[in-house]
Amino acid sequence: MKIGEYGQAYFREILACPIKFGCTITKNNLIDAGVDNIGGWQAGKKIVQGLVGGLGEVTFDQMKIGEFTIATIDLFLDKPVQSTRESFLHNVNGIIGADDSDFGLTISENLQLQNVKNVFVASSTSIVASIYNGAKALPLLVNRVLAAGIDAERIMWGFGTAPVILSSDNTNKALDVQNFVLAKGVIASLWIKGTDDELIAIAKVANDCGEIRLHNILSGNTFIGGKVDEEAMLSLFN
Amino acid sequence: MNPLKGYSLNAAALEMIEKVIIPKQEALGIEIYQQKNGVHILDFGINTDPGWIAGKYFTELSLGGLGELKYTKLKIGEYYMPAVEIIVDYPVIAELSSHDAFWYLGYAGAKQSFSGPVRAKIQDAYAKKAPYEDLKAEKVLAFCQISHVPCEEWTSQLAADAGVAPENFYLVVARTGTLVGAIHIAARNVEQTIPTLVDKGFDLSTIVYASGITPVIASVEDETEAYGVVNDNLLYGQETNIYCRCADVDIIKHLDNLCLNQPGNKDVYGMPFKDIFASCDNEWCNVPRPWDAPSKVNFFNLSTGRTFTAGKHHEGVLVQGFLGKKGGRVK
Repeated sequence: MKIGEYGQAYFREILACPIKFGCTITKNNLIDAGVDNIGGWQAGKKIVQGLVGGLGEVTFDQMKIGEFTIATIDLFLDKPVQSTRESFLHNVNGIIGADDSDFGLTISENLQLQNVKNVFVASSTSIVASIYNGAKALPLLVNRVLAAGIDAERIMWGFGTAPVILSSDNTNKALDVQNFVLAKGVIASLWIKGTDDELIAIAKVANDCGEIRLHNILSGNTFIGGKVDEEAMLSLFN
Repeated sequence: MNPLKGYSLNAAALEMIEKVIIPKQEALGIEIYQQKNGVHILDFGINTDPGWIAGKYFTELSLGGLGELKYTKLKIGEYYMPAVEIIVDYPVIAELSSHDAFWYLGYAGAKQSFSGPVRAKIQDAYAKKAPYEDLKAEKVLAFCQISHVPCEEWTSQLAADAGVAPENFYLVVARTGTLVGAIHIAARNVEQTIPTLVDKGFDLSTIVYASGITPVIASVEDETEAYGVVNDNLLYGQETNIYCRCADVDIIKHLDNLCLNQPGNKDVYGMPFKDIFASCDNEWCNVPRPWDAPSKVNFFNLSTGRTFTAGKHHEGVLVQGFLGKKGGRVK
């Protein structure tokens, strides 16, 4: 299945009306989605949809963190291994995306990239980068589960939710916050055909990636590792 | 009076199959083929493993184009869980004439229920309660939640009962123990509530719009276990909103006996559906109607501006289904 081809329609929606998405096409054929222009929620969502190749639903929702109700980026993935490996975390020379796609994303603080076209560029402090970062929670769990020795064909579906937190115009602080969110504030779930013991072993060592849930389709049991640390997340709003 | 005169639920759903489902079948992970007798099979989860997007389309096809499914999440106990949100226009027609599974057909000693726009043509007992029929539909679409693809002898019988040639009969099938199975049953929130209102004698002509939300707490491959857990979603976790125009008293008189927690159900309320179903020999037609009741229903009376609520969620059963017998937090 050509995942890049499936995803291109979402990127093209941005190109059809860049101004609506806070994007600009630059002279060197990049798409500024959050460097000099501001990008936006819809740009972030379309880029995430494009990167998962349309193999799932991408929505915005909310999550309560203490007294705050914060917007979240939620992924409901059908073929999580394929979209993770071939597109969402597939990075060639800093450009994220599928090999068979005309489009890609790079997180960069400037628009100096040369000799490429149709690459969306968003700075670390942009909303597009925050949305992409939160959406990474589920693909990162896919990689963790694959690394633990679960075969790709046994990983069936996924669900992930992450708060979208825009913290600062300072690049270093923004990167710190994004990493903190991935470590403390996200929930990622996978439906797996496995044994309870192998899923327990994965959940047991998951103490740096928010809350992970491994649903064993064969036994009907769900094993949960880590936890959303609401108190720690609240510290971001001080 | 039929407010949808000139609109064919079957034609609308079949147009969606042609324009959306067939072009996307590879990405959806479904299979579409014809049996030797000509019946079209859309395999949404028997010999296939499709997921979220297929589950959405399965439901929207069942509603004959009159509704939409959106994914969201709900907090149940301490856990945020995926959930399906349904919005339905012409809810009495969309549900009673199509989405409800009240067309029963016996085969090989068992009774199987079918849903879908085909019911607007064959007019089973609940379809007759809606002010709508689709008698002239030349091609029809049915849905079946089953563990195997029905054989040709059976599908030929279905086509004959529906009054169409086999090549004009489309059957969408999925096992319960798949994600599509979990999603499409969770999506039966308004679908469950409207027939309950029929049973109570509620004036259906007063219902204007409806929406609903249900958690999708788990998916398990074993069909019996899956059947229990996905129905727990509905019985203990769904919430339906009914927007109507009537006297408040016509709502109030039903509130105490509408939902699963009604006084007459005190012996079953809180039991996992798997146990309830087993007590009915695992046959839907043996389940007493008051046991197939929604968890929570809200009425928004547009005539008076007042809101009424019946029922409640049972987080204990939902969390138990989510974690399974041996699951939980791992330390």
